Amino acid sequence: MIEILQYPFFLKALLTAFMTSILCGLIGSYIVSRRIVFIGGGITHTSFGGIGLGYYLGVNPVITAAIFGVLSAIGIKAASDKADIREDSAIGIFWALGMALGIIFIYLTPGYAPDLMTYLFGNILMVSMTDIYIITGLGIVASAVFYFLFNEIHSIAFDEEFAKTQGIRVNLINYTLISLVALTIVFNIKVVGIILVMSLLTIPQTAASVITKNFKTMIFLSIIIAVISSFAGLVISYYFNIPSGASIIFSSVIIFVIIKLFYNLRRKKR
Amino acid sequence: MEDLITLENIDAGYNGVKIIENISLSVKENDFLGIIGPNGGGKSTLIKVILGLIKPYKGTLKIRKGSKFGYLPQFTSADRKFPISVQETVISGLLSNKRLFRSFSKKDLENAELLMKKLEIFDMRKEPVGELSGGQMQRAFLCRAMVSNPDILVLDEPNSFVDKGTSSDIYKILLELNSKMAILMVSHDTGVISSYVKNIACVNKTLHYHPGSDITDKMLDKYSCPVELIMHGPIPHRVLRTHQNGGKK
Repeated sequence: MIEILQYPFFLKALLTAFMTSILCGLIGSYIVSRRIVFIGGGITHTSFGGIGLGYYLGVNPVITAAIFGVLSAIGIKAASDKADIREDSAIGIFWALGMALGIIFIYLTPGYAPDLMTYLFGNILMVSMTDIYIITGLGIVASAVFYFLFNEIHSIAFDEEFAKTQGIRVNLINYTLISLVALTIVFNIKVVGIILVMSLLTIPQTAASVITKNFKTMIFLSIIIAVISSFAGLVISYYFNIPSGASIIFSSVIIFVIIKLFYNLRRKKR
Repeated sequence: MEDLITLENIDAGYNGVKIIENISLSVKENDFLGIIGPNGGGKSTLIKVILGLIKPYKGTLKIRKGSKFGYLPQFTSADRKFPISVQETVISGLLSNKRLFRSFSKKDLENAELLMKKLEIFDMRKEPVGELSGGQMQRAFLCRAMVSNPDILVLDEPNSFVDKGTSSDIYKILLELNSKMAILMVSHDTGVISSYVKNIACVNKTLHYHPGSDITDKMLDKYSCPVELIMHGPIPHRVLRTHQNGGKK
């Protein structure tokens, strides 16, 4: 156990996992309690179009993915609010469009896309220091937004119509948060990959919601559960030589199942 | 004195379908307006126009500058599994008093506590609101509507899910509040309407305004509002009237 801590790459992975857990614990609690997990799925897959565009233009795919992610988040919201398209249909359309564009751009790019697999399945060991800075910065911004606007966010998430009658700037806050959701997703794609990123934003939070019905406590518990499962996942990944993204998600599901079983048993006893 | 709320020739509805038409109405300070009418007649639509939740297709809506709203929705869109306690729900009604980035004032929080005690939900203030019974939840939402001491209190069916005893407690509180604020109340309970409200509006696509609080048989007949009639007498009794065009929907 001590020996792996001697490798700088592993320490960097631990740092990434820690920062990611804080950001995802916070944003994921919002996603889960507002029931917008499916919007998250839409944003994730639309951003694949951005990754493709990045390859095609020869720029950092994360930047183009971020643009695609934020635009799809706003697009999904606007389509359902203003254009009278049902939200789940709008998500389905964006989802498919993003994947299609991604495939087209990668096909058009000459040569082989070497780290495409990193984006699909994630590799925490490929995360650069710049990525860590971005995730940390985003974590600070998200924490500040939640700290200063907690009551407003909580009220809107619970009952948007009532919040509107109270003169709260519901749309501004909604669009800010959905953009934060999109950025969180995109900057975590490298860590666990497109296919698994939503699990970081839902599994620890759902586990936390088994334990508590308090929103603030839920945020803190989600962060703790996310930290434990990502550290455990990294260790498993090292010893069994399996991809880290998959082992992190696997650990978090195991933790979720243990918590759920424990609470179900306790409820039965009472 | 300037009216609190003025509507002129308002048309409104959902998805291009007109539900209310050519509605004009004014509400003064300390008014207590009862809004009655058949299901689907547009009572809730009217309320949502006043609250600014629906943009009217036509007409003008004027709300006196700086007026604060309190609102009790008929069906809350709220998610029963959402992590929010009774206390947090009630306090969310204070957000109109609070400036962005600031915290709530002490006075506001004390008022919230007092109101929760009055409506007998103080003991369960730490419970998740979604785990309350229907009546308790209705009282929590009522608390949320009243807690900011709004200028205009809008209540859509406040007596649903609430038993008769609680119901009369609620009306006592409303009468008390009415000296400080205007109240707009949608209700099917015409007995309550005629004993508490000051004026009545009957909404059935169009609006008919009746100054005073007496609901007459003729009034109901003329505007085809299938509501129950209450007779006041020494022995409490109810008489249900059937309309020619059918009381049932």
